Amino acid sequence: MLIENIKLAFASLSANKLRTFLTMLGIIIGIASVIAIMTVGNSQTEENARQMSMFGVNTIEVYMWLSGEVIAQDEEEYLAKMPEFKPEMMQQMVDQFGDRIEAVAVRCYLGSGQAGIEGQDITKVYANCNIMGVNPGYFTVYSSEASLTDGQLFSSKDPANDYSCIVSDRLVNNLFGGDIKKAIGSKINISINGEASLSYTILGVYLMQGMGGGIDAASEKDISTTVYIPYANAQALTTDPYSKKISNFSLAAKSSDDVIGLTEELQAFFTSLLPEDSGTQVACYNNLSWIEDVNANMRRQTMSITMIGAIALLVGGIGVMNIMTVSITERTKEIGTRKALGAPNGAIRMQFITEAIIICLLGGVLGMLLGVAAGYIVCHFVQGIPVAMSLESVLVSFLFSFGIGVFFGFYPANKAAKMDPIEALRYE
Amino acid sequence: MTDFDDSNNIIHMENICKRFYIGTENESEILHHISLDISRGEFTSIVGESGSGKSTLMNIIGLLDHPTEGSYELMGVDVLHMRDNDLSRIRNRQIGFVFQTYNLIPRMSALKNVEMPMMYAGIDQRTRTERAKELLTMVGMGEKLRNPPDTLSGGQKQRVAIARALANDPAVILADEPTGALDSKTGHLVMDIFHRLHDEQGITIVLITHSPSLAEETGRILTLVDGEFVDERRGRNAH
Repeated sequence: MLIENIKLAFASLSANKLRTFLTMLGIIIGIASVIAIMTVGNSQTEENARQMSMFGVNTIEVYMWLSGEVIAQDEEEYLAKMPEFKPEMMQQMVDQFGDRIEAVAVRCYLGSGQAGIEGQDITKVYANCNIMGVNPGYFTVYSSEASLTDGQLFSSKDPANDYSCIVSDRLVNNLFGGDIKKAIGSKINISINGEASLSYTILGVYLMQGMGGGIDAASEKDISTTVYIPYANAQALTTDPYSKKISNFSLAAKSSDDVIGLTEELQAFFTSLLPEDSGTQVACYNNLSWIEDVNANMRRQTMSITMIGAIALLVGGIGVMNIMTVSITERTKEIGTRKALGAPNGAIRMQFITEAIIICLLGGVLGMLLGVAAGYIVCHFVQGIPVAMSLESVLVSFLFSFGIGVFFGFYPANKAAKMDPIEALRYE
Repeated sequence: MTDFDDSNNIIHMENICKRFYIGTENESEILHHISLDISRGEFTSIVGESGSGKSTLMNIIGLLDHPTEGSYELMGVDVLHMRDNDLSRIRNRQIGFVFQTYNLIPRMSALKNVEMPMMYAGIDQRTRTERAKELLTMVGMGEKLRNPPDTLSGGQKQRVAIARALANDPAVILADEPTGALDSKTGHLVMDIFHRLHDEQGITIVLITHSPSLAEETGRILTLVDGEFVDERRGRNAH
């Protein structure tokens, strides 16, 4: 009976090909827009996750600040009131959580400037750079951003006076024509914020990743990359009193499964160290929850736009209902005949619901192909991100078109099933 | 579900009345206390002018319509107090309709049209096809199994319709003006098929017509005037 109904449905649909196609078009466009939106949204979400994972999913960032208005007579008093992670707090943290922490990273931004080879004209051969003081742990915590490929990390016993640096592969390209061997051990002059230049020895080279260093320059040559110097050295050099205090640092958890737990425990730990009513606050963030937040937000946006796409689908469904009503009116005599020959109401209802379902499923499949193609085009050519087909969108659209067939087919099919056979037989 | 009695009485109707627009000022009685018995193997014609109530009577016999009053037993079973689905079943198994306008389903081959009542009876595909072929061959349509209705002439269509009416081996064939849309020569060919079915296979047939000459070919003529049988006699040219 089912097979019979399906055959029958195909026969009557192919008897009116243009009309069937036009009806299907509504479903095609509806499903296509939903699939396209979901594909683009999904790809975008995955791309976000991919980009954000470059920050390191194991990373936890810890901030300390003074909440509320700070009342101070002068700068000095204000500065004195600014909270900081004192060395003993850090030590206590390492004592307590050391076995769960891979590395701790602190940084001190010194400024931007230009680097040139010592003994050469800096106006001819130069590289734009930002100068940042970091501890060796920084390269572990931010390995995705700055991962040492050649040379070594800072290891001086007297870091405050250690004038060595770690530079990007691009800086090596600009200054040494890409010759890393020649670069390591060479001295470069760096002028920071337009002041007199300081001489640094290149200790190591890191590979600059996409997100590494503000790609805002007009040409490849002018791209500014980060030059890392020892943290203590930067602390000694900085003229900014705020930079001398550690108000934030990062750390990498040993296991990504521990990130959420460790974040919570650190939060509790630092909160307990702070004197009450001081107005000082500590917050620990991890990228994992941030990624989750961003993804959840992305999914919400995708869902909202999908809803708009679903309106197209609704219109398509109404089109199916409309054409089924017309088709049933046209076939009144056939329905009467079938009833006279003994078709129960249920069989008539099934016949027309099957027909509606088949229109919708055919439209659904075509719409799916069109939607995937549109999603691919948008992702690939417009946004330039890898396409992440969502299998669930395929499944959802399949079920959805089936559901539309049932929902919008039911009313006309029921109308057909309830026709009075005598009236129907008399219909011309 | 229903125990049909195997006796010779196929149709037993008593005091059938049919009124329309009941309770309004247009209320009118179309059939007045009609009683009708049809035995197995009879070829009966019900003759009447248009407006005599013969279509209404046919609809009641064919279980498409309900009488306002009276009783109706089909093969000994009271069929007036049944649910819709049971009535569908009885129409499907016990009554074979032949319509004036053939009422073949367009887009379906002759074979599929004949198979249709068997499909609703839940008979499997192979048996269905076999029986449909047999029936179509019997009415001389064995060569046109795959033809859809719009490729057939009027007479051919009506032969397919007769084969369809016979599909589930019904107790009675109800033919409503079966030659009404045909020229007289083709009409005779169709009537010949009815006669053959009746003579050779003893099939019970009720022919509803406005044509007295057609009726004369049948064994029993009932004349319906204004909703009442006024005459019953044997046809002059009965086989």
